[in-house]
Amino acid sequence: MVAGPTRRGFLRRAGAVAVPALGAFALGGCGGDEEPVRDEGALLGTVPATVAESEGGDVALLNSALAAEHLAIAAYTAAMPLLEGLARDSARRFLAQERQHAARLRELIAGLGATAAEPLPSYDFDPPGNQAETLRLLQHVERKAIVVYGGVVPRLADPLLRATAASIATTEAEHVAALRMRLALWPAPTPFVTGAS
Amino acid sequence: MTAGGLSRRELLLRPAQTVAQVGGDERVVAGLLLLERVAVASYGRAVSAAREVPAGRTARGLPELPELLGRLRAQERAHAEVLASKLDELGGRASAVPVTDAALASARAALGLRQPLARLDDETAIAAFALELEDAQLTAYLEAVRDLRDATLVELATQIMGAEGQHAVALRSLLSDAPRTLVPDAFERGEADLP
Repeated sequence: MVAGPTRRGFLRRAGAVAVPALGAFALGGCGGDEEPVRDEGALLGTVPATVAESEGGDVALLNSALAAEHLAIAAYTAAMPLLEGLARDSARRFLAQERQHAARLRELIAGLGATAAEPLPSYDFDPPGNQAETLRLLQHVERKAIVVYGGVVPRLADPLLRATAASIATTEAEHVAALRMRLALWPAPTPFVTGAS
Repeated sequence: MTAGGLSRRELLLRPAQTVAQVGGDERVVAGLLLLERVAVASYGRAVSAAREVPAGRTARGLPELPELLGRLRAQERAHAEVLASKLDELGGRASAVPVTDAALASARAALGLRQPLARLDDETAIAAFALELEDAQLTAYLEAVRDLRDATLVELATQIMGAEGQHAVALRSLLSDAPRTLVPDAFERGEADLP
């Protein structure tokens, strides 16, 4: 059983707002699974044919990715008390990994001589009613991060930044797979991971 | 070590300039396609072997091993089909599909895959065999994302790399369902050690 948090309690931990992100990949609040996510499935060619050239562009892209990591960190932090057993162990590990992603992105942004985006004061999540709903919410947040990285990676001008971002995006896809397994779902539902439902 | 004396990691993590010098995107896509075709053929052998071993304990939500491997094989085939189409658009030519055991063994050796085809005699061995394949693909796609020039190909490689990571999670779960086993590294590079 999951401890029954009040809506107020969950929101106090998670906060309230949306994540500023890259153009079409902007993230709204993180409601339920019914919320539309940009469907990239089988839609290639959603990015320009040539990558950007400016380092300034890379900074903005990395900050978009960092914003998605901040959202994920907020979600896992809020979700931890609502989970038990292996689900909680998974959330603890994935939270630590999201923090590693954020730290690495901050380093990369600083390396470009720019300032990393700070987390928002608060993030808004619909309060889950039980463990399964909490896992679905986390899956939803991870999918949104994958959507963001799907837009960021092809646009990064620096090849090494692309590789780092793709490495992180793949880890987010693995988080989705592991969360799906905790929900007794097949972990690899599509041959092309886009973040779409 | 590969036939050319390079380790798989050395083979797959060539400097970007080297890849660009010898054929650019066409060369990268051809390499990925070969790896996917070797994966399809290797999974075919693994599915056959899995039907001969006693059923193990798969995680809740996962099918029995032959079905699990068959699903992963189907996704590798989907990757190969898209890559073949992309290579055709680039005017490139695909390597021959390894059909016989000898051809497959030779192709696997050239790619630095060391798990033997002939020793798939229990669930753990089959999982290790498939995980080596997925790790090789993760490493190759990471290199491809770095080296490809065409952004739509980078987008495609990123999407497929995510799927290979999810395959790895399914396979790792055959060894342990501990979170540190399922997702061992915050930065997936296809280099995680088996538990």
